[in-house]
Amino acid sequence: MALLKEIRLLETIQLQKINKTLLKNNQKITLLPECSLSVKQGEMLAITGQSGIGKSTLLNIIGCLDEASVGKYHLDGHDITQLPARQKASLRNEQFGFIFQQYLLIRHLSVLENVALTLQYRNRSYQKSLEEAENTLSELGLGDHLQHLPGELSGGQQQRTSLARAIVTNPKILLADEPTGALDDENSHRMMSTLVKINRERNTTIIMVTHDQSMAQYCHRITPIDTLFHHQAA
Amino acid sequence: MKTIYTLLKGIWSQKTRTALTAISTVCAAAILTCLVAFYHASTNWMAREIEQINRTTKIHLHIMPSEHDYEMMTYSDYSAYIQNQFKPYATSVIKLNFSSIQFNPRSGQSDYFEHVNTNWEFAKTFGIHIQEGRFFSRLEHPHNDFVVIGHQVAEKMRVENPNGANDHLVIGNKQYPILGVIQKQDSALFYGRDYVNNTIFTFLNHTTQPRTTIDQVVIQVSNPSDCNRVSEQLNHIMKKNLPNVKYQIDNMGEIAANLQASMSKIRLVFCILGLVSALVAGVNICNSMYAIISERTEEIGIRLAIGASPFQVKQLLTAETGTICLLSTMIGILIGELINSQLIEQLEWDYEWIPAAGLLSFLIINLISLLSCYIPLRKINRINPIAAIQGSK
Repeated sequence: MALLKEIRLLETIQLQKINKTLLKNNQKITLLPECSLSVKQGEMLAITGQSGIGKSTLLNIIGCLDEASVGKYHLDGHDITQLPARQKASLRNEQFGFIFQQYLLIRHLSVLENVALTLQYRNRSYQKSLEEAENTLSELGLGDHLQHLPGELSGGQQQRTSLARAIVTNPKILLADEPTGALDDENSHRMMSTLVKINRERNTTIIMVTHDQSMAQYCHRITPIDTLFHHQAA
Repeated sequence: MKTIYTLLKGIWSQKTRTALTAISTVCAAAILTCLVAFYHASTNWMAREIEQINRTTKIHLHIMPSEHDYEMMTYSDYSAYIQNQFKPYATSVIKLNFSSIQFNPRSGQSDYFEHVNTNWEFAKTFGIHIQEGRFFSRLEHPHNDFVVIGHQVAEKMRVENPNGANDHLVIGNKQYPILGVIQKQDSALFYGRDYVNNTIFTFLNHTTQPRTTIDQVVIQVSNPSDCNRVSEQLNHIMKKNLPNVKYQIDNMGEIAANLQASMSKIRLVFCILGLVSALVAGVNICNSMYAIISERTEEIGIRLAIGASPFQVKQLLTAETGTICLLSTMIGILIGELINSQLIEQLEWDYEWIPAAGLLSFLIINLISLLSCYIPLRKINRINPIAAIQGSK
């Protein structure tokens, strides 16, 4: 708990020479060779690059969904590289919000329950979590779809539900993996405008991976992923 | 309530799997409840039978039928060689081959029925009381023009003819005066059959000659441990004094001992069957849990990604399985009790609701379901959220 409190005060992401080794067909593949990255609080960063280079893997490592094989990960000055699974889960819940390209909503839960779930994992009461989830969904224009199942919504609506789930806990850092990848142009721009608004109003750090340069333009900083690798930097 | 609603939604999302788990749990609980309840009922029945046998432990001497009088035992033989030799015990003789008419209260029809009839000593041995007791006063009664009716037959007559004297019965074209009504008898004395209460005793086989031969001798010993000695003594007497008579001795003490031994075997069989059904349920729940984890990998991944700890996910899945098992077990217990009651009714035993049977099944099945969940759920500790999400695509 002391660690989590301190993390709230400092709030910076620092990755030092990490890489990720995968085993594919009995062959070792190294992604993100000696990748280093620093992100400041309140920054809106777009990481761009071609498919398969490791953008999502990098985002997953930042979001404690995956572990780097080597290197150091500091969150607000604390080394969290080797944090146990339970503490990582707690960190994910307290610090991060996630938006995925495929929305990843739980199919048998209503829109409202999907969003409230994150709060319930923060030990909010069922009723209170529903109230907070309803407020967030209304803010994002989904007030009329609270009881709908995800399958009954359009792609844009599902992505907004996914966004509501990510921001309902008011996270310090929002990680978006190709958030507009499955949306049409209109919904993509609408989504990006909402992200910019969240960044401005809540001072939420947003790290987004995308291959779409027009979406990346919404961010303060655009970083092609290969510039983060050691040999490129050199 | 809301939590239960959410829980049920999760269960409903896995309809087929839930149905399969529920069916296997219902079956296991029903089998287990039925086994425990039936075990209790059967062992109780056997214990009562054994107690009954031990209380009125008897040695039966069966005389084999023969056309020659010198191969039969007469009442005088019985008086001379057996009655006096076994003075400390209650002895009686049984004369077979008297016919009677029996009212069958279930079918409502009358059936001709060959039954055992005997003398006053026999009636005393079995505690049969006669209101107007002339019928059993002699074995070889010369009259054949009267009847003695059982308790239920008298009741039936009173219901059918409430204002009548009910002092005679018409069989065929002949009127038989009713000499007496046998008081209500405990059916346990007659191995669960209340035929004495339903019987009309009369001599339908006309005979003018006094029948002096007897078919059975019953010696009631006070202590079951005396059975073997009495049996040997009886055997010795028969060989020495009535060498021409063919006979067979049934030692009820031995039968009681055999029943006792059977009880242990039955107990073992019931335990094995109970264990097997519990094991089948356990394996099925375990299998279902593995399948649920595989089918819901994406959901588990999402839950972990948005901040659920592995413990919270395990708690949810355990609660879901627990709910299925809890409800299924209760249904299974009801079905088991129902089967058991029907079975006991068919066997004409006394049905008794045994709460311990349901409680035991409930505890065993739910304990097994929790244990069966535990092993597959350990897998969740090793699930990487992203791998889970990507793996399900």
